[in-house]
Amino acid sequence: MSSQFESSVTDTTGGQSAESGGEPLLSAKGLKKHFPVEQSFLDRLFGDDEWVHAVDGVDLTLAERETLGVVGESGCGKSTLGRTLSRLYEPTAGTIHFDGEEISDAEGDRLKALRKDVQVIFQDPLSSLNPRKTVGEIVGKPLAVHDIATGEAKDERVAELFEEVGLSPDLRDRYPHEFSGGQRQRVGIARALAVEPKLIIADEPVSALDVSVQAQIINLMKRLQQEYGLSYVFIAHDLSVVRHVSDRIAVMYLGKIVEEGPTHDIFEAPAHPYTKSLLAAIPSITGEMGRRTVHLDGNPPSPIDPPSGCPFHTRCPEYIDEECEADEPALQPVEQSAESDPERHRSACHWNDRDEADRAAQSPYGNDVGG
Amino acid sequence: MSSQPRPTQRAGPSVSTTVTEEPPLLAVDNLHTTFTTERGDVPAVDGVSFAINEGEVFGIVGESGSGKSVTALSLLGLADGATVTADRLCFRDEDLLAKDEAALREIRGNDISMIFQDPMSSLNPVMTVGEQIAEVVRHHGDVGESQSLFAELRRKYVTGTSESSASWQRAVELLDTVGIPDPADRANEYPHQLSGGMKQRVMIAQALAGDPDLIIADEPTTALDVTIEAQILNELLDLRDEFGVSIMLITHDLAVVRETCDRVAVMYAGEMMETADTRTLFEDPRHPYTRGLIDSIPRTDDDREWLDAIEGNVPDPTAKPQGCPFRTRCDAAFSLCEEPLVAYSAEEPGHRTWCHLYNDAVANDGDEVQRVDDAEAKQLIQEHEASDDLVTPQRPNFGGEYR
Ligand code: SF4
Ligand code: SF4
Repeated sequence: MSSQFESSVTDTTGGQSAESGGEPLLSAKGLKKHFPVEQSFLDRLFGDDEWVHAVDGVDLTLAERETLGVVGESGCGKSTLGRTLSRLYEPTAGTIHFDGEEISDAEGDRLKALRKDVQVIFQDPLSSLNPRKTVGEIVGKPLAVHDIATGEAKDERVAELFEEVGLSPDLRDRYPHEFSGGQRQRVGIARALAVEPKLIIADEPVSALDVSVQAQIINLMKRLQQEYGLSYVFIAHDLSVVRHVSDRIAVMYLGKIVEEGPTHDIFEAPAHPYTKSLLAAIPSITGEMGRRTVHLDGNPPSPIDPPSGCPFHTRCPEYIDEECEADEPALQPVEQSAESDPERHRSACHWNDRDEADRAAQSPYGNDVGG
Repeated sequence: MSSQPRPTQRAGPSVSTTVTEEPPLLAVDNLHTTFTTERGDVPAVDGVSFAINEGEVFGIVGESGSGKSVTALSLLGLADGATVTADRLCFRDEDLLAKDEAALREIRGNDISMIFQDPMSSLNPVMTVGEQIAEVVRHHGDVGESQSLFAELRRKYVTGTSESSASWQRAVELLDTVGIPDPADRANEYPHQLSGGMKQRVMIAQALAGDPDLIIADEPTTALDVTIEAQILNELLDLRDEFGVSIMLITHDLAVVRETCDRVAVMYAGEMMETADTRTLFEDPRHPYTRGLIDSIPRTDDDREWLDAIEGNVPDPTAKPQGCPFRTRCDAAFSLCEEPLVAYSAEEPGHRTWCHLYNDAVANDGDEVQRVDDAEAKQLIQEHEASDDLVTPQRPNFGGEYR
């Protein structure tokens, strides 16, 4: 966690971090991805264009060797963000820089090179593994595609990769369906690792796994990060898992980042009402037993027609006044506690400019608003 | 511990903390459910015993392949294609194994309802939700409306249920009970018009329509976001508090168990590992598997760099190891672990552990075996097996203490 982050700062092999003032490995500005809504004949006749605002203006940065956790309820756009950052999707607007290069419009050879540096791991490894290929062939294929190794060298490398992810190389002639969920995710990781990427975008990589196996895979991903100096964008709905793996966390709501900051700050001193509601709803195996208190009703509104002003105003337990509906709050630095670093902890809420005492008086969380 | 049949009375959740002598609502002893496949017999449920009391929320927690869902299906005669046997499988004092399909259907409509992870598996996509619930209400038969085939067909294809009818009104009432806003309007909507959380509520309303004594909920919140999950679980707890209905909650999620269940059973590879009241299970877990599970979960208050994973994988169900099925992954495994498992009782009432570390001839410090008298231990195991040891829990009621 934070120790990992610090080690990247003192690293002499060229690890840069946002903190040390170097260029981030990955950065996005004003990133948008909109999808057309399937429309009926009549809609088209009247020219009613409808769009799903899946990602709707995201700024973010990721340093080398860093893990950025992206959390939010289903439909918040976190998966689409991952796919757009990795250029599986073409952005609707905005820029993405990777390793000093603008990649939002990359095509052809540049896109192919990018496919080597940026790998994606999905929730269900089975759906992303070719069922008719042996797992050995699956892991070996990217080596051939990217001219990394062929023939015997390739076989050797595959065996190495298998051992690296904790699979016996003897299993290379089996097919994906012969494996358990955890083993399949190991194959998926070995395949991603084969091309020696700099960045791995992991979209719910452990959500489908049993808890005992989930812990194995999380440990594996952390170890590989340290060994290979990888950066991760770790997308997940499980906040406890994200807390465990991430250096920083971005909280998404309706296609926007509403709060971001170092993991410790987000969990110990959350600023945004949405983050607080999410944290309060985490099921826990420690602390008080019994029912969870929920301050968040219903579902997020439709991303086809997002609310005016603050996207969270229709559900916000700390709603202030008309300003919440009229003006969209900007993501701005917040100082939640003495230890927290306002340069790195940012939140998008009108409470940022208001009186702490007023807020404490109306918040369902009482005085516990940090700061 | 007596098992003599007794006329049962419907009682709400008792707030007494005394141990009651009532027979349990559901008693399962030595349940085996075996599927025959090309690759051999799969003992999906392999000697499971537990009991559920009136007004109790009982959790069964386990990972995939643990047999937790098949256990539930077996109770209701829904384990298609499997051979189900048990020393005892009783709902109240009725033997479920002796019932034919028609009688079981009757029980499923009136006494025991089931809700699933995917609401669409039990909701009809082309009927309004009000209509579906009203149908169950009429079938349950206490609204005095005709449910002849003709009347049902006419309702279904021509008139729809009249909104002034008792069954429709009851459907709206039930939607209200499970926390659906504007229930009268929502009753006229189709399942696809509802969000995931709302569909799950409709399914709960439908389960309630038969006025059941036991609701079996199989991973009811697994597909939902945490905020919605919390609402649905609270809804289930409200039903227990208000109507005294018992709930059997099947889940993979220990945190969900911890916040909802009074007692819990941990299953692995078709077998019981440990059962206890929920507080005891979390504060004093005895089984190495239970401990491993708890330790492998990332918590919001720990700063472990590495999670304590349980290495290895669940055994192939067609080739389970002899004795304790967990022994291929257990750090504490020792000489006795190839012997068949039996339940060892702890001091707390109803706390049982299927692990030979707790055999009286074994001295252990909770992590490691210090000394074992093999001959004596095996003797004890045999005596244990011979005795007819139904796991009937005494009833620690934590209703007042937990909430
Ligand atoms: S801006 Fe207003 S509505 Fe939005 S999160 Fe802040 S208080 Fe809530
Ligand atoms: S019986 Fe043996 S293998 Fe099984 S859990 Fe106990 S110590 Fe481990």
